[in-house]
Amino acid sequence: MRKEIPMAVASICGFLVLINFFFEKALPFTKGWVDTLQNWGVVVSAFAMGLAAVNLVFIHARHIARRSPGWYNSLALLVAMVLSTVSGIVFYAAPKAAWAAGLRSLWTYLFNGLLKPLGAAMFSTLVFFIASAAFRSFRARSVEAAILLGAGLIALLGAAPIGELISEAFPRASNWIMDVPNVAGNRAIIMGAAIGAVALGFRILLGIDRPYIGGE
Amino acid sequence: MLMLLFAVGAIWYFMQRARRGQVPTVRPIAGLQATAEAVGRATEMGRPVFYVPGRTEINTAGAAQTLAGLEMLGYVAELSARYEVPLRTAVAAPTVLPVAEEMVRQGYPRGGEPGLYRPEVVPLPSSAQVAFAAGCLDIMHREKVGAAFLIGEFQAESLMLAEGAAQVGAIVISGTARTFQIPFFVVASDYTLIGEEIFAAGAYLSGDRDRLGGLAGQDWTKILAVALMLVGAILVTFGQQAIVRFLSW
Repeated sequence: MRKEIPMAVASICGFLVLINFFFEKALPFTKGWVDTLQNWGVVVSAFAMGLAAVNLVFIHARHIARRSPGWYNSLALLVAMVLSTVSGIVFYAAPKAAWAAGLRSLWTYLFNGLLKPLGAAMFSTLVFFIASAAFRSFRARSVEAAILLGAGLIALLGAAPIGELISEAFPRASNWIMDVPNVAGNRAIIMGAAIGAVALGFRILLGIDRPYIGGE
Repeated sequence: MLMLLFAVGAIWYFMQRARRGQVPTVRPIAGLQATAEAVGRATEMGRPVFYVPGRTEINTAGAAQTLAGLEMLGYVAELSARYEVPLRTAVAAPTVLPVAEEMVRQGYPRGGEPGLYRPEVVPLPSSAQVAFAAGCLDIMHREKVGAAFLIGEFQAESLMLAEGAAQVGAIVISGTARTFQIPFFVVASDYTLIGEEIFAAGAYLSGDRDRLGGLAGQDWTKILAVALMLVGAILVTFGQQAIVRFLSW
């Protein structure tokens, strides 16, 4: 029963949402049920966020207790987490209190002064990953790699001003690569993936695949 | 809806056929065949296996990819237990965390080592995109992972993760149905599961008759879709809109 009940609940909810999607006009009462289900989903997600916070605290507290390599990073994470959570909650609970301005500036500083620039800095390192990956993959070790290299070079030259300066054929060839083989491949993948997702959804609705209860 | 009904009917029919013993032959998928090899290689190197089941929530449009990634996680956890190699699984979505924990917790006993499970096997570094990528890169570099599996829905962090794993010498098996990220995975990974291949992973790796039958049904749906497109293209060329009207009905 430990598995059958969750499976039955998942199947009933899934079929309800599907029926409402296709027959909303014919069966208008299903809309209310589906809206309620979606609201429950939001509540469950909120609980999951709490569970995730517990997981984070548990793992990093262990790192600190065991003095694992880099334990001070875990400490910084927990301190930032507590400061940001407490300052945010307390500020929004009493926004007009005399001490609220200080809390707000702390909370804003943690978000705008630390999280955002750190995120932007991390994101900017993507360029180095692109360069490194391009260096490794743009080596003509096989026929496929040579085709990738050729197509990549034409696309690069077609998009850069120097390509048009060398020959007007580069932008035309680049556009053709992007509009014909690229779009054809993309559409084939999208179509296959959509049908694959339908098949997976159907298997999950019927309880043949059960990843939501651990796959057993 | 007619297409959906056809898909469901075809999948159902081929599942029944498979139950009667007519199991379809599945073409070899290099990325899935290499799964055991990758875990084995990590074992030989004495390094952990790293797994990311995508970055999106379980209740969004990318849920199917996340669920496909979670299915494969169970198999990788089983292999890790069998080879007694540590597994690290990073998740970014709070709703995925309990499911990922359960997949690993159930995968370990199947591999004969239920005692290996620890809560830190499945950390949630962050829900924020770049913070999650930074957390994963930290795990990869600090623990020098020997194999990295990136299966599910990814966004701009895909290249960071695949290339980051390659930089520490890990064998990288990636897979996504997000077309924007597939090129990044193809250039940075050793094996890439493209599009629908990730949805076939569970059936392929488990060898389960029902699931393999479902794959055949899926293929027939694809054949019908291609046939409709071809007929539609020919009809539209000659000024007939019948298929267009039928599909937009």
